[in-house]
Amino acid sequence: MSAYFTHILKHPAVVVGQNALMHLAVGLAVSWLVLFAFELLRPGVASLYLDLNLLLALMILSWLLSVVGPPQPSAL
Amino acid sequence: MRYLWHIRWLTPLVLVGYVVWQALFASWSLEAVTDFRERTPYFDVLLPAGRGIRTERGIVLTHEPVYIDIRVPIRARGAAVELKVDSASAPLKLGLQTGEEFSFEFNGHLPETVGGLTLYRYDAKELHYARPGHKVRFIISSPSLVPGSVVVKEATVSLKREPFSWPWFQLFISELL
Repeated sequence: MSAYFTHILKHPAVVVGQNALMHLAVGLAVSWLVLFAFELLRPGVASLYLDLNLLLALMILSWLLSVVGPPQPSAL
Repeated sequence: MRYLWHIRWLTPLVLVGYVVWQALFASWSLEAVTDFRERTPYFDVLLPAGRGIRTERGIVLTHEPVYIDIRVPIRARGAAVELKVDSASAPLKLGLQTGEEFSFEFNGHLPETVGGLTLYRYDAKELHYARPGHKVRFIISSPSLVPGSVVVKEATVSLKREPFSWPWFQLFISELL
């Protein structure tokens, strides 16, 4: 049953999208670290303009979506 | 596929660049509104808290003076406050605390009446402080107040930013180190 649902994960467009999400997760992680360092140096300098928790959530979400893989043959 | 990895450095560039731009170079003003019912990041409640009673009509003052504390989150050049009170209220004066001691400056702006509300304005053109996070204190003084005669509806503050300058940047760096 799951094979019908997850075979779309083998589609080339999905693979490209997952690749992009993986890079996005890395970029968001780096920016979160830099902005959090700013925030420690001067409270409010980043959080006045951006929601750091939202960045963290987006980073985790994009990483999770990027590692969802097609089903292994043994699982079918 | 070949160019996708550029997302890795473009994302931090956009996000960090946006924050750096806002913190250092942006020059437009910030505005915040409160009805003094609860604390917000910019406004405290009217202080001392025992001098105002929260009602459906607004904050009814029982004693004077009361203070409006504004937390300035940015490097601001000036702060303008617009206070809306019920038009049936006793006349009052809006002022700014100018020093550490209780010294206040009042201006001679005449209040305006707009649709059942009286508007008082105070434009503090020069703020003297070193860093964001500083509190600016305004005062509401109404010598002819009897308990219940002044009803504060809301206040708006607009903060004018100080544009980037080299002496300020040196101060900023020396504070960080």
